[in-house]
Amino acid sequence: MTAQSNPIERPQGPTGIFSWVRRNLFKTPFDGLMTVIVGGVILSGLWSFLQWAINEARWSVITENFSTLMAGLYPTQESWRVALGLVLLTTLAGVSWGIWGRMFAATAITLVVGVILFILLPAADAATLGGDGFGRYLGEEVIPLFRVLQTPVLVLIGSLFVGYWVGRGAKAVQFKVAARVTMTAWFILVPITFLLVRGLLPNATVLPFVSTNLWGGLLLTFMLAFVAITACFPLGILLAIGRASKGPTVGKLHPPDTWWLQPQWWVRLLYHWWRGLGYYPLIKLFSIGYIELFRGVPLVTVFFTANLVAGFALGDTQVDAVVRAMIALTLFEAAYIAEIVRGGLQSLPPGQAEAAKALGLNPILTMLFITLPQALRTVIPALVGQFITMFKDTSLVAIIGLLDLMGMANGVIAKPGFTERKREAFVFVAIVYFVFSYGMSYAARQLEKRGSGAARRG
Amino acid sequence: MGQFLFVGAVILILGWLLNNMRIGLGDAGISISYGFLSNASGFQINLGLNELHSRTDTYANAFWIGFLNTMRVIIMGLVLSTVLGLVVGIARLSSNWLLRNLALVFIEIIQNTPLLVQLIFVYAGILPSLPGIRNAAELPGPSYLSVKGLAIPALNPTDSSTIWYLLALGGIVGGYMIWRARRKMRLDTGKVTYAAEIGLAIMFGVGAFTWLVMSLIGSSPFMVSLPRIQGFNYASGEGAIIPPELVAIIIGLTLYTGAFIAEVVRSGIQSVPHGQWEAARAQGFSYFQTLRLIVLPQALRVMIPPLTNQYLNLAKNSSLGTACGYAELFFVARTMSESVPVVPVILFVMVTYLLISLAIAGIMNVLNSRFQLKTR
Amino acid sequence: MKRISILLIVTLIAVVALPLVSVQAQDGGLLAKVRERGNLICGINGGIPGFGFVDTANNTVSGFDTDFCRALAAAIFGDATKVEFKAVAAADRFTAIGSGEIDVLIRNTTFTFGRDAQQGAEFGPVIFYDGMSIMVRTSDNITSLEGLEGATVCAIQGTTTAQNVADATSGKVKVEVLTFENIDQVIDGFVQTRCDAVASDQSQLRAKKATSEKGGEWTILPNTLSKEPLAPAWKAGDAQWGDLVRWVVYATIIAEEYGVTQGNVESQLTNADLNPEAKRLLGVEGELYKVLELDQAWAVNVIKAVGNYGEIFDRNLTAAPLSFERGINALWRNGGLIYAPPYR
Repeated sequence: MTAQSNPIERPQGPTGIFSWVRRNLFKTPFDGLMTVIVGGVILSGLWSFLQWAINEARWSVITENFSTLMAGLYPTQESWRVALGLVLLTTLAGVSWGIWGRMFAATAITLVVGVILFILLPAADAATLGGDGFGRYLGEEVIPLFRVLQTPVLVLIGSLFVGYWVGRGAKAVQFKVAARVTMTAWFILVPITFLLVRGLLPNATVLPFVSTNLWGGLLLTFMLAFVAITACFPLGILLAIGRASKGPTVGKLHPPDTWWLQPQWWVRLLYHWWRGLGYYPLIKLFSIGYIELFRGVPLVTVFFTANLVAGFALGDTQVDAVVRAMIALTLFEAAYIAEIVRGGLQSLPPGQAEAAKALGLNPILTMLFITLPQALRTVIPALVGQFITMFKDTSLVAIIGLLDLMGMANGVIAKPGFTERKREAFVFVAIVYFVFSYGMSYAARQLEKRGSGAARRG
Repeated sequence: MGQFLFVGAVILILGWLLNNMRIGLGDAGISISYGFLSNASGFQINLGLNELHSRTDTYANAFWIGFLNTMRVIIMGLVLSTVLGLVVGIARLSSNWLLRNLALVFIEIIQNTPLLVQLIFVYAGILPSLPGIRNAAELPGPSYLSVKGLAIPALNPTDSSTIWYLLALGGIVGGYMIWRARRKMRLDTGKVTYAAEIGLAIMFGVGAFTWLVMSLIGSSPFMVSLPRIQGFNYASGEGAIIPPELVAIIIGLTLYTGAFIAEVVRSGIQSVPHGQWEAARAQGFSYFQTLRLIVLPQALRVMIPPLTNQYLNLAKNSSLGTACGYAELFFVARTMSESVPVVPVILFVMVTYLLISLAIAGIMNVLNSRFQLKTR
Repeated sequence: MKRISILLIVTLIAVVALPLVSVQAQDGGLLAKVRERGNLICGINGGIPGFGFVDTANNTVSGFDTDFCRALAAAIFGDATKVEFKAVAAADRFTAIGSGEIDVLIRNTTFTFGRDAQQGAEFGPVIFYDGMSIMVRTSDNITSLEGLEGATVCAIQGTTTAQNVADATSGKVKVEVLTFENIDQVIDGFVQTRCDAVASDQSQLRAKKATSEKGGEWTILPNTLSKEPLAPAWKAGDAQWGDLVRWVVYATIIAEEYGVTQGNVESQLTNADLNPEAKRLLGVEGELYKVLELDQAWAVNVIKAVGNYGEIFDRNLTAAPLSFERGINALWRNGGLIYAPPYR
């Protein structure tokens, strides 16, 4: 743990593996000690994990319950709808990647190797690998897992690639148009996927209604996150505007030290405070109250209230448990989004709004086209961080009895035969969450680079 | 005015909800009041350090135990996650490739998986690594470590402890005042006054000295109670027992919050201009001296607002005790809701968390304004 | 700014009012509400083999308790699939009943005075007579309650067993009671030796002992420490709904008494020698079904969907891996406690 004390680029010393090791791992004796200790910890950790994963873990809990973990009790004959929605979303993600992102050699190689593995491994004859140790692990654990995953993974990688090349092509032809179309497609596709999965009407011949209580597993996790992210964003922006709304500047009062002894000062201060709230004091107060209330309580108590207590207050009105969880998550996260957006609004120099006003733009247009876009651009990292948090937070619905990925994992390990497979199930859950959260943050970093670059160019 | 309409609508909706609740509860014959608080709860909570909730204790007592357990997690978690965040944040900027990347991998893994899963792993990971009670590890103290928890000696107050509390408090206040006075003297006169040394010595010396004197005259303020293993467990009421559930939730929350704090620390340190580093190193400060005396104080200014958010998250996340069987406030509330009306119970829990959040935010705001002033 | 405020108003109202514009049920009893909604919401336990668990092989939820949910759906809709299963934690059961989150709770729930009188719940006929026992590790050589001095006894949070173990041991032995949210966490703690004993309903203990890899190393103490009559529960105050749940359960018992099974129910409809009570039940004679506002063939639908009480029991509990015996849950004729009032 030594200094990062040379901010100025030092001329590169001799290259080669030994000098790299010396420079980066054994610069000082303390550094060397650190390297040895840290390296030892890493190796022993990896070793015991591999030991467990290969010799002890039995992954049949995943392979045999795969469809349940993915889609819950969603009717099997309708599950093509989920698959179609997923393919559409992945293709669009690929298109966006092609337009805004770059294909790194490492990513491409990983994907290609993945495809080859997923084609070759499942075809292998598991029986010939029998015995014990690594052979058993490969034959009994890895190959069945790859067999289960083969079709979905290949289809998804395929649609990602197709989307990527379409995106590249479109970008080469007309960048602006392609970008706009893709943006719009995202806004349209999310509700379409929702409708596709949920169905149009009960008892309809085309796309019959699938009750939300049959949604489960990763599907439910995704749907909760998607709906909440889409819905809390506008609500959060409105709350932020409500809280940031200002009136004419109010001067500073200078109460005497003993103001609390003088009732007329109470009145003056109260009035001053009220004026300070701006043109819309009630809306500002509501926004502040809302934001602080939701930011002050744990999400799990909000879910608990929405799904187990709210029924008391709803009377004869009935709302699906899943829908209520969605509403609860939306209301809760909107408060956080509002604070992030407000931070962005406050970071803008006042000259922007003043200039717009001078040009004769009305306030709503100023907000929509001048201040808000700039504010949002500055807070993209924080917003994505919040969306990732939201995605992970959906796991709390398992506590109130919804069968999302987490809840389904709990349900699966209660089954006879899988009761000792808790670790495997939760390792799988953790990996799934990691893949998607990391993917989101990776995409956000790309977008951020792109965004700031565009700003500099423009 | 539109806003009056809006507020009117909000009030109408809230009123509708409340009215429904009144009717609905009336139909089901449930009364909403806090009258149940003085009734015996009928269940038993054994988690806690010394205190225990038995089935004849009241619901109010159960709330109190839950609140204490929550505060315990929050306070320990705040301290530990700050330390971990600092270490990992600094490691993240280390010139050692291995260390830097280990920190990065740690942060990415923690930040991209749900806390609920992590808590399950921590609890499931801690239990098997502890020895059974029959082969409990004996540590100095005497203390014991086993799957039943860490048992350490406890100090039980006696009749004379009130007097000692007052004396010790007097020592702390007096010591602090002397510290301030001598520091002012140093600033005024430039003489070496050993302000901190003398102040600290008085702050703690008075307490220790009076304890010693009181013990010598035979009315010690505390009785030392040593833990003892008896049959399946530690003997009850002897020593203090830190249950593995508490350790699990503290470790889980520390790891989770620490990873987020590490990123706060990293960006805070990076926000300090490099010139500061160079100037300090040129003056002959060592790396850690530079960090401690020059960089971190400046970084703190940027760090406090995001740090506040992380502290608030930690406080709120302490409500996930159910993942490792820890009886914090929300856990106790759910246990209660089996036998008493849920609406007042959940309301109480939410208001308590709201107050905890406000308290943390308030303290951090004061700290923030202090730092902003100091640096000016 | 003005228009922004209006936008804000409209959106906020829309969001807050969203729940209000959704399905508005008609005023009336729970039965009308359930019919309006088109399915029955049944609170179950998602984690006990044999009673209620996620059956991934059949993409559904299976078990003894869940079969009674299906029976109820069959009686109301003539279709046993029109049921929505909602897993609720033990601690949240009565909250869910009170708030109307579930129409009926069939989740190995003990019928007690407090729950009946204070918690706004109402109980139906007992469908499984259970009792609390304590499970210990065989290697610990505990044979009686007294042997538990100082032990950590684990139980499920918010259950009668967590309270009963405090009752049973008070004054005799000092135990530490540790509670977890569900039986899996409890068993986990037991496997990890955090708990020295597990206190729970015998049915759960036996189910877990039978399905855990380490089950062979555990012993269930023979003494039954409490009565745990498990019964369906619903929100108090709806007599019609209560009658319905009660008589659907009784129908399965009466069917067993007269040997009406899933397989022979069709042919029994035309069997002239069938006992008149069974004939009334199957809707062949009389018009009693009208009182319940149900279909003439409601009992036939129930039996067709899940079979009689004995069949439900055998399918879920007698079958491997649980291998329960009927014991006190046999029909009264065979010396058990399962008894239905006459259907007339």
